[in-house]
Amino acid sequence: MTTPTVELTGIVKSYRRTPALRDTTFVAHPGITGLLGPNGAGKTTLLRIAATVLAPDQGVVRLLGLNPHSDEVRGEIRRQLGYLPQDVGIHRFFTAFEFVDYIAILKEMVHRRSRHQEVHRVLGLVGLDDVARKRVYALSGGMRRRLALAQALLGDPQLLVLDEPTSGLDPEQRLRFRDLISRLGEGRTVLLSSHNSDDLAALCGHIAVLHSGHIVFAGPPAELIATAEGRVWQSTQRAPGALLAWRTGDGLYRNVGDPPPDATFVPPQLEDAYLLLVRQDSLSAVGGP
Amino acid sequence: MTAVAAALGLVQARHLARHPWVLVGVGLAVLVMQYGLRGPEGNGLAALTQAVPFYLGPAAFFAANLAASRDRRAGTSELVTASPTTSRRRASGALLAVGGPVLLALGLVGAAGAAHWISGAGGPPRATVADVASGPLVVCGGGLLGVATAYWAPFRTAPILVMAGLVLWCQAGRMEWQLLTPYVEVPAADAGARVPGSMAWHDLYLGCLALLAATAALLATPGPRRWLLIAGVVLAAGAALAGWRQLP
Repeated sequence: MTTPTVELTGIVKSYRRTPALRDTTFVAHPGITGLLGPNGAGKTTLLRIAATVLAPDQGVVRLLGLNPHSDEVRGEIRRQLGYLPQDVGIHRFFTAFEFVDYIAILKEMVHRRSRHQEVHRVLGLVGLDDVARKRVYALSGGMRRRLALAQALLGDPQLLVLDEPTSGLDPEQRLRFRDLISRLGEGRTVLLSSHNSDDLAALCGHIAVLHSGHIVFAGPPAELIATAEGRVWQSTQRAPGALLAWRTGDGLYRNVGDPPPDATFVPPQLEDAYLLLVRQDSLSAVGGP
Repeated sequence: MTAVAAALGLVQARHLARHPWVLVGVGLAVLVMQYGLRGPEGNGLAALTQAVPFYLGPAAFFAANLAASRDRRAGTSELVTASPTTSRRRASGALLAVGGPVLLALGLVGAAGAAHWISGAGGPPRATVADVASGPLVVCGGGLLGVATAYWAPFRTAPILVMAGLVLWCQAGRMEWQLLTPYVEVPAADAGARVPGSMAWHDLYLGCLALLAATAALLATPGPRRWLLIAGVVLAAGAALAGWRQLP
């Protein structure tokens, strides 16, 4: 097993009286690790801690083998970190090039020529090199998201923290993102959150499911999918005992939950396992079955 | 000053020099200057000493404020926080960027001053170097105050309130108080009019006020404060001394 790039141990974080993370322990190794969870589960808080922009109330943080307790160490970590926040504002009147160039300076790339080469490189990686001179306000939402990703890639960082990188992208752009992120995951640590289980299933070697401020599952996607084995079945009618059921394109119902004895099982997918896991955790939290 | 602050200052200075507020300020200053310098009936001294501070000074203040608060207003703060550049270095970059409008101001008074001194445009009395230096110093002070306002009062109406305060100060009743303001109006029609007192001490006074604003901006950021506080005290004392010595 390789040395963990991200180690969060016993993390507690609250916003005033609202707990966001409760005694959460999380580890990410080189490769792509996905964070899955419903809204308000604490994904963004966890990623912000991993990106050193937020300090936990309690717990130990180790990033790239360092504890970000002082400005110097935080600076050292940030030199090897690329971060894409969930809601990133981009200066509207900058050109795409100027915006990435500005962030490149903040990443201590002070030599103009090599900095400009690097800016062109990352714009090329996200397919924006030909709109480098366009002002940000003239770019589409998807282009802005790619521009935000471009700045995270500056300097070839060892740790990439991406909070919902595919939100707001059309299907083609999402697939391009997948391609790019899978290439980025070779040789560095990529930590990404998404509501889209397809993206995570396609990309991640390791998945953590966060629910109500704690990790309820951590492991390979196949292991998570296996937890739903024998709990997904098809029927001609909506099954009364199903937690969730929906009609698919072939006219049959796909049911997730506790199956009847004569059920026709189908192979579960990541989202089935995720639904079951989150539902089970909610029930156990209120003392249900 | 670090290499990052210098690189940041250079890039932002270019942005600031092209900022719409600054361009409008330059345009108005050029118009007024060329009107004052035209023909023997003009007032070259007033044109050289008043156009730049009156138009470009407030423009630099507002433009520098907008530039320094851009990350906050655009919602880029979180992204910027995750970079290795500290808030103090970013503030240093924003302060250095004021060099952009200052260079424009120097270019303006240099060109107009050359016309005034070489061809006698605007008629007597001849402006001295100390007279024309006050304009770029006001632009510098205005820009630095704009940055300090962005760091100390991070809300949208703050620059308007600060500018309103400055205007009220410049309109203060007694002449002694007016002489301590960054801008004093000389009747443009009165060809011999000159602000009473020493312009050289006034320039030093403006320089101290400008650096005090820069020190205040840096003090608003996390980091060691001791040397900044000492610098602030020295500059305040310098401003008090120069302010007193400039009076007639």
